[in-house]
Amino acid sequence: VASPAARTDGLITETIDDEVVVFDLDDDFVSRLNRPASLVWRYCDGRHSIAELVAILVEELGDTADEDVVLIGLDILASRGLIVSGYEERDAAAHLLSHERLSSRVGIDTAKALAPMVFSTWLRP
Amino acid sequence: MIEASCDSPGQVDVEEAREAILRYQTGRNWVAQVDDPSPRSEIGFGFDLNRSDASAMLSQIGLDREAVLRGRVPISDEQMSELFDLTLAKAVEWGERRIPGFRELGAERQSALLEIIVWLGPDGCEKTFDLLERLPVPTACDPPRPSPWFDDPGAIGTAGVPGLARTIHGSPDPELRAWTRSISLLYGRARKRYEFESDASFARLPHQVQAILADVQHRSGDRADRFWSAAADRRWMDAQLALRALAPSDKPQARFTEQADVLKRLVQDGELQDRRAERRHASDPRLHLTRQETDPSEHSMRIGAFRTVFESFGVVAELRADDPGLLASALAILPPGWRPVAEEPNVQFVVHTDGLIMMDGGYTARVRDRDACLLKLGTLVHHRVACEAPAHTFARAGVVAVDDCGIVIPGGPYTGTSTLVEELVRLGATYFSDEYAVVDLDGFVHPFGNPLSIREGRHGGLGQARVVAASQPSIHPIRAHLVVLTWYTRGAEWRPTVRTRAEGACALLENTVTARSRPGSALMAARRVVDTALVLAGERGEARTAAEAVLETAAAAGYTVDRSAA
Repeated sequence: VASPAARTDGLITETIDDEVVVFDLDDDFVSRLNRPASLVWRYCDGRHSIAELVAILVEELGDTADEDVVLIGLDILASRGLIVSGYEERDAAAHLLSHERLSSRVGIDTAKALAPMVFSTWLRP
Repeated sequence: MIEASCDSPGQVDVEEAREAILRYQTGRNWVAQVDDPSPRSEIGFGFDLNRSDASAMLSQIGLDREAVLRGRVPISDEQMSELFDLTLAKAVEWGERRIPGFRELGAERQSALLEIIVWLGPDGCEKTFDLLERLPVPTACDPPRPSPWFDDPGAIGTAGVPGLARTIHGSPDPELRAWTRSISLLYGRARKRYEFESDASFARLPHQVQAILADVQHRSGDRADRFWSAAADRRWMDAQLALRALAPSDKPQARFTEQADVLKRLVQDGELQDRRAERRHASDPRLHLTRQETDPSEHSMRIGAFRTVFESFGVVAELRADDPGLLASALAILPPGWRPVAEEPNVQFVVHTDGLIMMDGGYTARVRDRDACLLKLGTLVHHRVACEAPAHTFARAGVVAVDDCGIVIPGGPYTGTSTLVEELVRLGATYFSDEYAVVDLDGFVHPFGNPLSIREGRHGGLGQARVVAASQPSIHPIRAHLVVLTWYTRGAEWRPTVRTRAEGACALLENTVTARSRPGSALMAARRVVDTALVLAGERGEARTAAEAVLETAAAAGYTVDRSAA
């Protein structure tokens, strides 16, 4: 089973409370990973499988976390170029389906808090 | 007659003149009808087929004037070049014969005069030079002094060639009007080029860009400043956009669109590298642009005679001006806390009474209005200090303090930060800055603002200094306890929500001047600022309401303003 590995080269990171700010030196983007996304990113060390990541998130975020949460997180991180191996970003339909399943299972408000999110900004010259 | 003031014999640098003139000329292989300077038939590099010696000159390169004129025979590129050499040789001969002191003039001046002579032809030159000689203004070669040819644009603007054009504009002779108009145009371009070529940064630009720049500057004057600034800084994409902006729909300005396309092609062909890309590919020697060292002799004429060297936040800079009064006024815009030092500066600013601002020997801006010029200079100095300060990180933000509570409002120009700061100050907060939050290595925010002044309004991209009453700027650094992320929306109600400190740090980082050049320290500084802070965010309506709400938030945390000071 492939274990996703987060990119570390060309990044400067800073953990502030339970979020992570990632500065991408290659394209001058600054990304803020919310808590669920930070957890996924932190444990993407090439040793934890997706199932193990689910277990970690359940432990950290509670029973409402599941595989969809992990997959959403991996998709977003991969789309921002923050995953280097062990995971292929899924297509948009699959990603959306994960969101819908999560929302219908825990409700929209909880899903908002639970869904991994990455907020990126490009730094102007 | 015009008097020559130089006795020593000089030389005519034909090669330089050739290069300088052709830099601005496109060649035509077939005859074409043009209207400038007057309706006429041209071929090659602006060769007037109606000049009296046209037949003789064309026969020297094996062409029959009548056949060329009827459009039956083209001129090859080689013939074009040959014909231009003949024209230029005649222009040199005419110039030496007709303009006293011509050989003693500098190469740029000779080139510019030769361009006029080539353009007008001997007949046209006789007419216009006769008129020039009748002008009641002195002429000069070296050293420069007011002359109908080049110097003292202010005086010449009213008394020189453009003045001449205006004076005889009402002449019933249409040919005379056409000639004077033409020499007026050429004079403007020649003078501008002369001015540019005295500027070291212009000399560093590729020739094609120099040609475009001279033309654009000539056609649009001060409106070309943005383009010039981008080109001098080698930001070609911005230069292209600036050119596009100069080209509205009216037909004569379609030229700017063409020139923008030329720039784009040069960038695509890799001949010009955008500075942003240059930075990305700095490790690739093929793509790395080396900036030539500035030759002091090239811009020595632009160095002001009055100077001071100052230190601010660890940056040692020299400020020069060509007038002692201007230098004294310029001192008022230096960063707060600056002090004079006797050290070797690593940054240089020069400001001239004509509004020219230079930085490190390169053209930076020209702002004619004195107050606006000083404000622009202040912005440049502050920004440079912000970029170079070794131990402080500068983030664009407004900063005030209430008791010991620093309130930081990240945001650059046009975000309403200054307005909100002003209202906070009016309500009794202590003014720190409406420009930068200056963060030291321990995360303390230092004051950075000229005493009692807040910039207001925007015209032409510049703020206007305004005194804010009832405020004494702080002199002590402070810890930030409130970071306010806000933006103005007409009619909005201030209902902020608490955000994560990481969000506050990102907002600061976005506004940090050195975020791209020193990302590590920028990130650490942002982090240290928010370490002790509550982060609030939300849209705001009128500044007064938002300011009151911000102060209420501070009061709820135990920090209150001294209302008696407000």
